[in-house]
Amino acid sequence: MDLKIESKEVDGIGIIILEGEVDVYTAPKLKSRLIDLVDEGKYNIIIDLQKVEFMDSSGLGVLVGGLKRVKSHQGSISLVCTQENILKIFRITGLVKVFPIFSSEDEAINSLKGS
Amino acid sequence: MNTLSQPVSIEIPAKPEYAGIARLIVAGFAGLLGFDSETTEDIKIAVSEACTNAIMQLHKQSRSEDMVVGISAYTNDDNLVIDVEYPAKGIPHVEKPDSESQEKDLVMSILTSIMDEVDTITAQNQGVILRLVKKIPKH
Repeated sequence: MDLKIESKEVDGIGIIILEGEVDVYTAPKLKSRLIDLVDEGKYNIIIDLQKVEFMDSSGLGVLVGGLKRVKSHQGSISLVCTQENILKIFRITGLVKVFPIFSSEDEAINSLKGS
Repeated sequence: MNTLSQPVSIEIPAKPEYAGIARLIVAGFAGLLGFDSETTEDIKIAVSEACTNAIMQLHKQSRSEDMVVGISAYTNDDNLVIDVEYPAKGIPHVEKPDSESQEKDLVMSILTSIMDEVDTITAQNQGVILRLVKKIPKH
């Protein structure tokens, strides 16, 4: 019941790779990493959720907060996710219309480069 | 339909690190009742949302350190019922202030989408119970 967070940079895009569970306990760690990336000047961010086993509204709240933060710098947050149990919570809350969701990191990177 | 005649009840400290324990225990209970894995995942989310609400409410009152959140899972007719209870003396209700209405809407939209019934009840000891109900599948 923990959350591993790795981050890397590809062509100026900040990429966060999550593994584990995002809930009220672990969401602050994600929030902190997102704030760090923005402070480093990375306003286009991809968050890879492929290895996330569980996410509730605590995680969604952090993602929405992060999006507000990068949007104030004309940035964006894209998600990588193909897992039905995680996608479902984005559908229920209507956040599929807020976050671009891709099936692979490469797809997300190419979309950002093309925009 | 599988039945479990006795409830499972636990108390967790009102701290974020304990929310995961509650959802795992209730998921185990739901699994024994024959819920499929997708619905069990939904139930885990609902329990997590309810526990998070309780923990955050107590935290706002600076009362979380010495408080516990009670979680009971039981069957009633053909329903799984999950009660998440926390002491709320002096706390008006589970309603959150207007500034957090967006967050509250998010939680309620999740709960009402994945559970069959969601109710807020005042407990006998003046606590608050968030009751989650899911129909048990017939096999």
